[in-house]
Amino acid sequence: METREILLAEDDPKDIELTLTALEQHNLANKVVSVRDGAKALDYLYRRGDYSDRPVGHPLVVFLDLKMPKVDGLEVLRQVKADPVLKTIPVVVFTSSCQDQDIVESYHLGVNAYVVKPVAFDKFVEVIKRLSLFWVLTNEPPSGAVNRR
Amino acid sequence: MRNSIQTRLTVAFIGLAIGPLLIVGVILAWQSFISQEQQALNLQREVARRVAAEATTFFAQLENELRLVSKAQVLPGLDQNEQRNLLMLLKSSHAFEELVLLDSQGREQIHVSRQGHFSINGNDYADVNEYFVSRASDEVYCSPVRFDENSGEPLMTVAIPLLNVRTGLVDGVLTAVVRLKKIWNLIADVRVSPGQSVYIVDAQGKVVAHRNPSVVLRGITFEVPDQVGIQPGLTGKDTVLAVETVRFGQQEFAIVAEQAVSEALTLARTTVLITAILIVVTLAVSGALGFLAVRQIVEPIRTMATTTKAISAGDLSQQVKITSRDELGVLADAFNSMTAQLRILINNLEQRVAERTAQLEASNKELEAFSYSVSHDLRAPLRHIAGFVELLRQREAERLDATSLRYVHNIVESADRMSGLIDDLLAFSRTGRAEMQLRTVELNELVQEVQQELVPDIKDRHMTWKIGPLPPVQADPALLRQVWVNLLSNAVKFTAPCPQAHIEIGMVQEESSETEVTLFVRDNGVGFDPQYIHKLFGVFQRLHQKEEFEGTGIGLATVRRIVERHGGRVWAEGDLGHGATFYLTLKRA
Repeated sequence: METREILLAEDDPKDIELTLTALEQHNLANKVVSVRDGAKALDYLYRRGDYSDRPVGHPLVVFLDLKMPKVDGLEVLRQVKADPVLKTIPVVVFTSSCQDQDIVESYHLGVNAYVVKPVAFDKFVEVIKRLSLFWVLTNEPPSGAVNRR
Repeated sequence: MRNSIQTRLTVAFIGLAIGPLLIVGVILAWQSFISQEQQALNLQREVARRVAAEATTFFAQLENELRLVSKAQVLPGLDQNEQRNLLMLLKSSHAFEELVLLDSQGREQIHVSRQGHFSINGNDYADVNEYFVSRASDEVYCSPVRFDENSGEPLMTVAIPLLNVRTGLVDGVLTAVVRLKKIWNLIADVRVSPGQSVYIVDAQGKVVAHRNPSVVLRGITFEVPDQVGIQPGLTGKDTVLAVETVRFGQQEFAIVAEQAVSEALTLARTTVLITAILIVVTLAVSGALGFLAVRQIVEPIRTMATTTKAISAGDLSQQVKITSRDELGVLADAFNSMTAQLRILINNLEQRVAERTAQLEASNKELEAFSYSVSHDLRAPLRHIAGFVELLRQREAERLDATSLRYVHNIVESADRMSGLIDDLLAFSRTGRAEMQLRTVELNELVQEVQQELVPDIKDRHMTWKIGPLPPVQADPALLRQVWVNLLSNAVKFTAPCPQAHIEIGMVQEESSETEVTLFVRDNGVGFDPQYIHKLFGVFQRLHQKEEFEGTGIGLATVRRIVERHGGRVWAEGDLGHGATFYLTLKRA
């Protein structure tokens, strides 16, 4: 379990900082791997490019922003959920958008949860806390399915 | 199609053609009938008159001859031989059957008969009519007609008194039995038309002469009618009949000429028949012609009606195919050019609509992209402001004084407020763009639900709710729910200062129709100043201080937008401190 981490796909460094700060309050920041765009996120998941030599294994959960350069969040989600190997990874869309079409589209693509980032920081922290408590500590992931392979 | 122009025109056409024809035909037939009858009557009268004239002549001759003998005066004085010779001569020269000379006492002097019988047997004739009538009246006497027992010939006795020139007295009577065969022959010689007959009837009604002797011999009688014209004839059938009266001495004879109506009026009947045939033929021909003519007029109108129907059903490619060079052709041309114009107009219109729609779609897309940006990109910096200020506060908590803390608090609050504004604005723009899905909404249930959702916010307050019976309406359920959420939460919000709040929701019966209902939400809250009523439903318009009542000022704007999208209206009544009533109209389900 120690080797498994949270993949945070987020282009905005301020959001990354806020997210990490919030996670720090729950001692989870050291488990976070952050990538700045969708292409990097896919590289990480497929262990290619910069991440070709990372240890084998899936992240515990992916926190995915929607609006990112190069490859946007919905495209990442589509590829992950279309891939028979990657589709078991829990993906949480964590975004500013509360647009219906984004929500509907995400669920169509098979997202595991859709969470809107609150503007107020205390609420933001609260959401991060709940998300990490649930996905990191409460939820039982399909552990080692890939490892065994 | 009942009462179609075709039917009416055809009937009128035929009526106009046939009516006068029928009248003319009837008049013609009637006239011809009358004149035929008159002609036939004249013909009969002519025949009767001719026969009468000839018969009169015959009798006159007879009488003259007898008178000639009597005028000889010497007759009684002649010796018997001479008398006999004279009488023989008379007999041979005329159609006398027998001659008898009587003396003044009625004794037979000489009797000569046609069979050569001659006698002087002195028979007494004193009691015989011929004798004493002619003797007494000094006039010629004619007896009724009788028939010879052997030959069946009609006979008549004529008696002439013989005056003595010297004494002036009648001293003898000459009687003659006259054979009326001559009269028969006379009648037999009359040239008759078919169905015509001439006969003589005596005063007793006995037919004494007829072309057919058997009629006479059978002793048939006939009552001569008083009037001429169409009368029952001898056989009882209707005839055209004329009568001429002839007198011989005391005897009166009616000479009747008749012709069966069926024969006499053949021509009239033929005329009537021909007229009838003509009318029927004309009826058929003019009917057919009329039908064709009317159809020629009506057919183009029908074509035009069919085309118009097709056009009004949306098929503008239809053309009226009428090539005739008359008014209808002109009409058809005008019609076709009109539809052509219409086609062009509609095409232009469609093109413009398509262009506008494309523009609208484009701007809609832009708007969506814009609101997406707003929702995503505008919120991120806000979150950062809020987040980092909070982090700053936490980090510098000990070093910040009360004023700095208040500044930090204001920054956080402002960011929060702006986030709320963005959310409301987005929601408001969504209510204007979202596809509406109309269905029947049970208002009673919906309002109850919305009211129940508000209960947690007001559990500490004294409130009474009155939700009147509400009808089902036709609306988009999600949008309509938003309307009631906004209206009821407003009512709850603005009654907050009231120790005892009343909120009533109902229907205005008087202002509702069969298709539309007027609903209201009334509260006894703080109300509003009527002079700002026009700002009530505006976007971001607030009539109260932020500190008093929270909110972004978009709730009623959203209400108005949704209600108007449903084809309804909203308005309000109220006064400061006296509550407010909001009205809205919706379509009945």
